[in-house]
Amino acid sequence: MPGPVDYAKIQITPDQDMAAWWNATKEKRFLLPQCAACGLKWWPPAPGCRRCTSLEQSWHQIKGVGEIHSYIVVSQPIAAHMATAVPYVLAIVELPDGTNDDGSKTRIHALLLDDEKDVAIGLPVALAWDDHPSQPYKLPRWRITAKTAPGMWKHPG
Amino acid sequence: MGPLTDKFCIAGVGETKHMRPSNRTTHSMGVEAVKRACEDAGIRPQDIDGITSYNIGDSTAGTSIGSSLGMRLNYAVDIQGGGSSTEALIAHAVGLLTGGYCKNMVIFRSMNGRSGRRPGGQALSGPTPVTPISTYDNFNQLYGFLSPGQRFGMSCMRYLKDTGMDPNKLGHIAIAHRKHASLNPKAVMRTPITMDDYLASRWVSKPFRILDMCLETDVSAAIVIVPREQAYDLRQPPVYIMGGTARTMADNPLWNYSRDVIHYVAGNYGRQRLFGMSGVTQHDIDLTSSYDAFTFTTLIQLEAYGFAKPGEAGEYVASGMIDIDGRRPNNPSGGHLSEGYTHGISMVIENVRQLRHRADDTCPGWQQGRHTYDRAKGCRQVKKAEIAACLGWGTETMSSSCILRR
Repeated sequence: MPGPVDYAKIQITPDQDMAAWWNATKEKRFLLPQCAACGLKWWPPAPGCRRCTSLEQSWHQIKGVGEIHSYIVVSQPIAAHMATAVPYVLAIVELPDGTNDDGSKTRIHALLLDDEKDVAIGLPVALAWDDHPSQPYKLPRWRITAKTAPGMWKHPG
Repeated sequence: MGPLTDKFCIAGVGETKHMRPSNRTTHSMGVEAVKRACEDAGIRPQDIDGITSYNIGDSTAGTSIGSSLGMRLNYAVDIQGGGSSTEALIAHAVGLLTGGYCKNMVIFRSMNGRSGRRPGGQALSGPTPVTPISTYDNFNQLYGFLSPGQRFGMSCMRYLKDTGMDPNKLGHIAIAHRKHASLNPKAVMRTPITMDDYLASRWVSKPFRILDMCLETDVSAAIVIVPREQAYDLRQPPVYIMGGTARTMADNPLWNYSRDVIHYVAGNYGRQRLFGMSGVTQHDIDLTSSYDAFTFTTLIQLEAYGFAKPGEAGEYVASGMIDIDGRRPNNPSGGHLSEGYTHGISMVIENVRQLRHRADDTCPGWQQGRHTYDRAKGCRQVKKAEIAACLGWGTETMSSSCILRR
């Protein structure tokens, strides 16, 4: 398991576009922006629907499961709060309930609770949450939930 | 061909040394680079009336540079942009010169990319506190996911899975560019490397090793563009602008991963515009420059622009094609991997020198275009250099490019 993330070094001050998303984390809910007009879901929570250009936005709460689409292994920390966490694995996670009616996918970034030896593209993951030491917001983490999956692949090096 | 193909040319190029550190301001370096580019062209800086630049909030305005060199500017603008901004600003210059907004133009980039703001986001002293997590743009900093090497690594990792390419093939790009840098007196890293060296280099952000990653340097560089009818009696052979593109994708530049094929990059969309406007095909291109902030960014650009078939860029770079004596050399200066990091502009400058047949190597007659072509004696001139493609890279979603000819 990667080392601890020093969340005390992080301050979360959401702007107007991110406020609703962060407030939902207090109840451990992970939201995707969804167009109130055409239903498209997307990530990140930037304003505007790319499909119908409606500015009316609602939110979709995900179930909290997904599949690793890609990953990297960070050996050299750049951000101060991650200095104690290296080496850590960042993944792109594809969300099954982020699939749209036109077939387009929604993927998010995920900081895994697992080590490199256990990671592979194709493996399923589930949402977990970390606490912030002084702020009410929760911080999303993801945990690998199976050792194998069809078509799984990992970097040979 | 486009209506403006060959109507404008690059008349002058110049730069400071690559320094680590410079102990200078971006203003001082920018003035030096612009002055050198003007001298190279044979134009007095006071006779330049258009200036543009690009930065990431880390540089000095063109109006300040121009003022220091006595310019009375009819057009000046600085843009915020990434590693394909040089090619975008070349297209921008062609439009402005056509419209009469100015009669000539200098484009510059000036940055303390090592001692000042490092593009990777870290201070020289080590891991750095991130700014408050406020916007969707900086949400990724929550995860310590903020450097280009981390971001592009995601695309690279999925590319490796989808194509089955041997990851070690990335090393051929690092090795070739280092060989080229060994022939470049300006380059920071000039000691040749082998595949063993590559494989022994440490992981920074797997799939990238340290030798997959570019240098960080303090530097400024500049390009002077004039209409072709102003170029007849200048100091250097003109290099003509055949065409270009500044194509972006619909995806958010920081979040292209959220849908579709994550390694399908903007060059795939810009390709037809670039070659269509320029009136040539990939077969006509004698050398390429490809933004090598990472080995992978060069790899994927060669594929996106159609020099290698989908999934075959690894074979392309491993075949020797990109070597200085290969069929289509890439980054004969050594590029950002080995010459130094300029945020893209030096790749265009090297192509200009190559197309003039005046690569600034150690051949005694290089300034007159006389080269030995003997690599053992330090010659860096590409043997047949008539047409070059400059493949800029901003992120996966942004790619400006241009084609130049002698």
